[in-house]
Amino acid sequence: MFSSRALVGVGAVLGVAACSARPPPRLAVELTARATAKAGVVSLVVGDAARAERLRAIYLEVVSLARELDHARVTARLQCHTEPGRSGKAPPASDPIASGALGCSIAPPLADRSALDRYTQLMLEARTLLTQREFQKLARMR
Amino acid sequence: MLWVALATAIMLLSGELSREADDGATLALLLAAMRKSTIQDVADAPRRAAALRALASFELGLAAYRRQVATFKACIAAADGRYDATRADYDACSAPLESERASLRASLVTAQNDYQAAVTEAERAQVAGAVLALPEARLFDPAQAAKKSPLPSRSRGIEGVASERHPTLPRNVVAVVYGPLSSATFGARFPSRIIDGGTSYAHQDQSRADATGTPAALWNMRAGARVGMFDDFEAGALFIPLQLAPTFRFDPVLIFFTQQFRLNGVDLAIRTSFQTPGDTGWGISPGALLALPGRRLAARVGCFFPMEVGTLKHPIAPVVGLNAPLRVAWNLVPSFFLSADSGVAYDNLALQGALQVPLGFGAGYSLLAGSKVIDFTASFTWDHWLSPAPAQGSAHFEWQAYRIAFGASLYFQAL
Repeated sequence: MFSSRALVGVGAVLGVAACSARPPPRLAVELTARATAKAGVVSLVVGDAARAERLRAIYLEVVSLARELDHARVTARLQCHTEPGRSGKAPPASDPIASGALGCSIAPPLADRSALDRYTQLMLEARTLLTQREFQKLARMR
Repeated sequence: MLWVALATAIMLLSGELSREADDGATLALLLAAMRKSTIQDVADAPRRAAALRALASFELGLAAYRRQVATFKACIAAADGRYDATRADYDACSAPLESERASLRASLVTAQNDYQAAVTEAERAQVAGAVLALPEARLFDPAQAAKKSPLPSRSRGIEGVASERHPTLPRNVVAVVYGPLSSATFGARFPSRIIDGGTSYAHQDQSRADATGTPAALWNMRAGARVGMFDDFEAGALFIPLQLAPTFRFDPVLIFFTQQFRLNGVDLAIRTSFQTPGDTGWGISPGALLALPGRRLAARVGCFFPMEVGTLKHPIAPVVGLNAPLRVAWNLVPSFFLSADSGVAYDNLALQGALQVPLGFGAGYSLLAGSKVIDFTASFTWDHWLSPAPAQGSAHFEWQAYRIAFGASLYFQAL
C-alpha cells in the first residue's frame, strides 16, 4: 500500500517536472552547454590527436568565456544605475525604480564586447580544424 | 521523457533551474509585486492609473528585451550550426542590438520618470518596501556584480573516450546499460552470483556445478540504467535481470549509488550496491574504488564487502565476502579499448581456502551516433581462475569455469 502511494507520488513529481515549462536559459548557459557537449566526444570524431586536443581546448575556453559574459552582464547592470548623470538618486537598496535599478535590470546596456568577439574567433578557428563532415557530426551533439 | 522529467525535477529541487535561467521571470515577478503594491498603496485614482501605465511600460520593455535576447541567441545558435559561417554572420547577430537597446533604455527612462511623477515619495517608499522584501529582490543587490559565478566543477557532457571516464556519470548524463565492463558493475560480485550487464553465458564443468549447486551452463541477460544525478553522484539499477537458461526466471535487481571525489588526477568513489531478495535474501555490497582515468590508459581498483543476509521472513546466517577487483583499460585509439581484469575475491570469509584470483579480458568500441554514444562491449572472464591456497590440495587453475558477456550501452544527455 505504502509503496504504491510512494510510486504515485514520485510519478506525480516527475509528471509535473516534465510538463513544467523551463525558463529560457541565459546565453552563457547555452554556450556552455553546446561547448561541453562537444568537448567530451571530440576525440571520437576527430582522428588526429593534435587537432582533437586543440578543439577540446577551444570548447573548454568557451566555458570560461561564458562565465566572463555573465560577469560582464551583471557589471554592466551595476554600472548603469550608478553612472554619473543618471536621474536616479536613491540607492537601489531603498528604491529600485527611482534608483534606475529596475530599468537597468530590464535592459542593461551592452556589455563589453571582447568576450563575444573572442567567442566568434574561437568558433571560426574550430571550423579551420574540422572538416565539414566532422563539424556536422559534432553539431548534432547539441 | 522519463529522463528529462527526472533531470528537470532534480534541477528544480536543487535550485539549478532558476540559477541557469535568465532574469526575465524574476523581473516579471518583481513587476507584478510593484503593480499589486501600487494598487494597494496609491489611493488617488488618477495618479494610480498613471503609475500603472508607467509599470505597463516597464512590462512592455521587459518583453521587448526578452525578444531581443531570444533573437540574438537564436542567431548565434544558427551561426554555430553552419560550417560556412563567417565573422560577418556572427557580427550580424549583434549589429541591431546597439540601436535596439538604446531605444529600449530611453523608453524605460521615460517610464521611470512617469512613475516618479505619479506617486508621492511616501507611496514610493511603501511600494519599494513591499518589493524589496521579496527574496527575488536580491537581483538589485550591487554586491552581486562583485561575485563571479564559479566555474562548473565538472563538464556535463558525455565522456566519450572510455579511458577518460570517471566512476560516475556527469550530471544529466544517462546511460542505458546493456553491456559488460560498465563502471557500475565493476566488482559486483556477490557470494552467490556475479553480476554484469548484457547477455552472458557462464560455463563450468559438472563437478564444480555439483559442488556449488549451480547449473553447468547459465545464460543471463541484464539491462538497466545509470543516471548522473549531481556532478559527482550517480544512481542506477539493473532492473531487467533475467536468467534465460537452463530455466527462465527473474533474478534479483541490482541497485547502486556512487559518490565520487575527484582528487588531483585520481578519483575516489564510495559505492553501495543492493540486490533485491533472491534465494539468499538481500544482498548488500558497500565499498570504495580508486580510479585513475587517462588519455590512453586507465586503471581502477576497488575493495568491496559483499554480503547476503536473508530476509526478515527467512533469516539466514549472513554470508560475507571480500572482493578487490582490478581493471586496466587501454584505448588503442579513442574509439577502441582493450581491458584486463583481475584482483582477488573471497566469496565467503567463513570458508577456509576460498580465496580466488579472477582473470578476464575485454574489448569495447565507442561509436558516436547522432547526439548519443554507444559502447559495444564484450568480455571473457575466468571468475575462479586461480585458487592460490585451497582448503584441500595445492594451488590450481580453473580453466573450465568461464563467462562470456557481450552487449551495448547507450549514453546521452537528458537535458
